[in-house]
Amino acid sequence: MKSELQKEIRYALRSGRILILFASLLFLALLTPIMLKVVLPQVLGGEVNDLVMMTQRDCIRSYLGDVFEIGGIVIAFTLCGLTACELQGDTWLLPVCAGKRFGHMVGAKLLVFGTLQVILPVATLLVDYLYSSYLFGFEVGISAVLFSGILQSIYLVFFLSCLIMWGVFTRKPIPAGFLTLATAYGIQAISSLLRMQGWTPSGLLTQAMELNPTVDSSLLISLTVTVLLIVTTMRITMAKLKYMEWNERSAQ
Amino acid sequence: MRTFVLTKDLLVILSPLIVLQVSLVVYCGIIIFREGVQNLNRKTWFLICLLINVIGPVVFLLVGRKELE
Repeated sequence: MKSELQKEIRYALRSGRILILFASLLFLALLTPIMLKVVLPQVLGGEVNDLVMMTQRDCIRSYLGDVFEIGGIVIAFTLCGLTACELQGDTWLLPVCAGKRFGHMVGAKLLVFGTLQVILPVATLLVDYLYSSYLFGFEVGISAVLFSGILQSIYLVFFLSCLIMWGVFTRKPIPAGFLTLATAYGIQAISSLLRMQGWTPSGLLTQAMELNPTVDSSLLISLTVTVLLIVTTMRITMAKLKYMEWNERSAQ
Repeated sequence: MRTFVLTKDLLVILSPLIVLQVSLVVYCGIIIFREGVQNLNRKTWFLICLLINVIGPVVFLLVGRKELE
C-alpha cells in the first residue's frame, strides 16, 4: 500500500493536478467577494443597490454554491483520468501481473485525492472567509466556516468516488467526467424536486450553506447516506475490475 | 452605459486576483518554454495563458502540458 500511496502523491505533484485544483478554487474564493462588493453594486445601480445588502454570510454561501456548480466541473475534468487513463493506457497491467491488489491501487487514489479534496476546499474557504471579512466585516464565526468546509469536502469525496467508478466503467476520461457531473447534478436536481435533499449527499451542501455548526438528525442521515454511497461505488468499482478482461483486443 | 473607474481602493481590492493571475502566467511560461507543449504551439499557449484570466493557465495545465514520459 505504501508504494501505491507514494506513486499517487508523486503523480499528483508532477502532473500539476494539485496546482490546477488549488488555483481554480482560489480564483473562485477571491472572485466571489469582489463580484458582490464591487461588480454587483456597479451593475445594479444606486436605488436597487440599497435594497440588496450583501453580507459576509451571503458571500460565503455564494462561494459554496460556486464550488458545487463551477468547481465541480473543474474537479471532474481535472481528475477524470484517474482510473480511466490507467485502463486506457494499460498501465495497471504490470502491477496486476506483479500481484498488486485492486483494493490497494484504487484505495490509494481515493486516499490521496480524497485528502486533497478535504484540504484544498477548506483552505480556499478560509481564504474566502478572510477576504470577505476584509470587504464586508466579520459576521460569521470561524467554527461555522470550518464545519461547512468539512461538510463540503465530504461531498467532494463522494464526487471523487463517482469519478473513479465511472472511469473504470467507461475507460475514457471525458465520458467519465460527464457521467460524474450528470450523477452529481442529477442527484441535486431530483432531490430538490422531490424535496428529499436530507436523504441524499446534496443534503450536506444544504447544511454547509446554513453556516450553522450544529449536528442534527437530518445531517446525520445525509452523512450516513453519503458514506454508504462512497462504500457502494468503491464496491462496484472493485467488482468491475475483478471481472475485467485485461487481454482483450480490438476487432480488426 | 455605466463605466468602471479604476481607483486606488479598487486596485487594492483586485490585488489578490492580479497576484494569482501573474504567478500562474509566470509558472506556465516557465513550463511552456522549458518542458515543451502539446496540441498547440508554444506562442499560442503562452498567449492563451497571458490573455485568458486563470482559465487560460488551467486549460494549459490540463491539455497543453507535455505529457510525462
